Amino acid sequence: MAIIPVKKAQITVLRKDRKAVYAALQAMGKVHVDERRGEELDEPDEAARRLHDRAAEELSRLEETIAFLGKYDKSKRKLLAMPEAMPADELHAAREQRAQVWAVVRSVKEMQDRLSSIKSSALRLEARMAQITPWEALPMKVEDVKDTRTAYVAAGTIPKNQYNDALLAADDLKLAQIELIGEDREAAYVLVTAHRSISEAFKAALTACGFSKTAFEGFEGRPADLMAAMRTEQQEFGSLRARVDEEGAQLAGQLETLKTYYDMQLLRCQRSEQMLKAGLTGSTMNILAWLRAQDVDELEATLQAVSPNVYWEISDPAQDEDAPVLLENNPVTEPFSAVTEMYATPRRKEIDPTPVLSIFYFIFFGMMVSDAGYGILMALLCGIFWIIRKKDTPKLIRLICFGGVSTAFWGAMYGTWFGAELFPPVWFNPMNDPLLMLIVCFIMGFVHIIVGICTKLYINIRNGDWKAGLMDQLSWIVFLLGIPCLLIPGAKTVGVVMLIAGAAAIVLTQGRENKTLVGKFAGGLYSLYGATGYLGDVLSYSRLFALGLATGVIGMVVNSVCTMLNSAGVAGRIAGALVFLGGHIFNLGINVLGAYVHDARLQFVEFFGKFYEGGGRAFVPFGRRTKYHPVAPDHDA
Amino acid sequence: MDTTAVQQVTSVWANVNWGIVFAFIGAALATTLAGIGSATAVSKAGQAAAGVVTEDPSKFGKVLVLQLLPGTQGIYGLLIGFVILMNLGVMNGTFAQTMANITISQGFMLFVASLPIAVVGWISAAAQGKAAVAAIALVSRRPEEFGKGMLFPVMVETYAVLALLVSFFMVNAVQIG
Repeated sequence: MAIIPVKKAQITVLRKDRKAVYAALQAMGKVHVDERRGEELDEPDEAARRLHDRAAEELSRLEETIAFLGKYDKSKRKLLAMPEAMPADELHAAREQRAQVWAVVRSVKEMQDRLSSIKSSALRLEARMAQITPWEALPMKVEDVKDTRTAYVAAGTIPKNQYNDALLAADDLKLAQIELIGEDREAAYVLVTAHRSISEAFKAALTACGFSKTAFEGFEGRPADLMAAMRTEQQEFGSLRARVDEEGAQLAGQLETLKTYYDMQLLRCQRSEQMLKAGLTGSTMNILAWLRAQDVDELEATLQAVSPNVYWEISDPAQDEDAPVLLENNPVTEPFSAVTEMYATPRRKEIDPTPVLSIFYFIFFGMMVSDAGYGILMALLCGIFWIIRKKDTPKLIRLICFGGVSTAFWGAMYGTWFGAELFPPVWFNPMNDPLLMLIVCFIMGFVHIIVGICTKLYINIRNGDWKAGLMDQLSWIVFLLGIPCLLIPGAKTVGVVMLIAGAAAIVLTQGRENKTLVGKFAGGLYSLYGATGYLGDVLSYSRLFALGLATGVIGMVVNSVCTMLNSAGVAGRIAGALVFLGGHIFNLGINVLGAYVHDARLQFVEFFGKFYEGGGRAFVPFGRRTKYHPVAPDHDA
Repeated sequence: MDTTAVQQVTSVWANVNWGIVFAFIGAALATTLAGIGSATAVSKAGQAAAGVVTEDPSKFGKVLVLQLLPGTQGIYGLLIGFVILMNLGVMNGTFAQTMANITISQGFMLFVASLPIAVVGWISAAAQGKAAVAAIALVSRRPEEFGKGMLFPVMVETYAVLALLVSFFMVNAVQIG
């Protein structure tokens, strides 16, 4: 729910103990290790750097191997099944498999090489086959296509549209012949023969018809035989490929080992990465870490268990020190922290906006999707996922689950169920009274903005800045709250008084930075002009109206198309069912996306603009972050 | 042209139900222009997104969201087109009655009502597409800034929402009967 204060720990260990220390810190998983900026860093930790680079390189090779073998993995993964947790020592024991793992990596590399050479040979072969295919019917060896003592002989192609001209020319010359061997879309493949006496004239005629000679370079024998040979070769490539596939399928059996080894190596890589942040002296290293106050005892016990030669000092961070920011949320607000994180982590002195944000995000999400049927569907599907995966559920899924609840609520209010009015609206139907809906949206926005300013007021007061709180926020709150009072029949006078008081306070206080009296007054007036900004902010909430209406209208379009199709026999009914399903899934998808995005915008621009800056560093505990198997917590810890 | 032909043409011309024609042009424009804008913009953003996914498939989810942002205008256009058709009774079978009752000025009002979302929808979608392309480039280099990248294209959409609002209330103001 809030920003948790952190303690600073400065730990000094002997360099020879470092592997054990980092392993222990990683197992503990509760400290944030930071870059140590001190004079010690002059001496870079070459050994750790080498360790890290090697581990990173191994990881990338393993990744490639796992991706390659993944294609052959036949074992089916259940859709929602969670990978089993693995005890740390079992993961650690994976290093025994090193030889076996690298044998697999090497054979996969060799297989990949083989595959790529097969592929390029096959491509070359294909090109050669394409050259010979049209000549397959040529009844002689290709090397024999040459002039004899008495005749001119050549093979070549003539463009199709000029083929008839060539035949006519041959006829005219009498002692010449054009024999059609094969053809494709553009050209006729021909064997031309002529008596020596007319060969020159024939050649000239052929050239005029676009004849181009084929050389058959690199080929020997009859084309039919050549083709047969090449086809066998092609089949061989096919079987070579099948061999690789077979080997791949066999090696895929080792995938589990590889993945475990990968995770083990990943943890090592993470340890060396953290080691690089420490400062070094001749024989010690200084670690700068942050942790929650309640974890201090555990850290001390952990360090003591590693080695007697560890020195540490725990202190509170100085006021202006750039400590990482640790946020704690309850299960209800936690999914909404994803929205805050998308914008920025709060600074140390700010408050965590997630709790206030979550209320409005929840309400607005439902107003934008606003279809009870969709809401129930979303809440159910994501809820089931949440129940199965428990803590492992991504925040987005949990967010949509909550959004579904809100959507179901607003859908019932508006009486929209899968685009139709299945039940009468609890409140009103927006299609019949759109103005009321727009007003509801603006009121929501107004409240949102006022809460935003109130939050800033709270922050100012908490930080002891009473003056700024009263002048900058309270004056505006009074002024803005005066506007709705004007509209309430009995409270008109109160409204006028609030407006005047608020405006006066704004004009009198907002120019206080300026030096001259005139400047102060002008600054105050200019600040009052900022009221137009608030008007723009409130108008922005019309997107609640637009997106809410869009869901209902598209749902109605889908339903009316279905009704039309339903009246057209069996085929129509089937088509209608498909349209119903596809249409509503599309509508749901596009509107959830729209709601997610526009809701975030309302929070970031209209709401955060009033009080929140962000820009802090998130507290990221150094722990066991694996890719394939989550690590089971140690028992003795 | 002899006089009977001229008479024929004038009578055909006079028999056109201009009210309905204008209303239909309005529905068509809202859906078509806003749809064109969204389609071109989503296509441009899609090309940028595909480029990013070539480099790093893991960014697919993020760039997909950005790609879809300029798609809303098409939906707003459809919304107005549909509300006009509903107003005319095309959906609930009272269309014949509307045909008899609608006046030319009512039809023309529906036509004018479609213009804000038709024109602003078209142009704002194209403009939002450009912002989306830039945001996709941002996310390709700094995926952690996704939230901010999302914000820039969404800013553009405000104006489409405002146009939708005006179109909607104008259509709603026309009561045929």
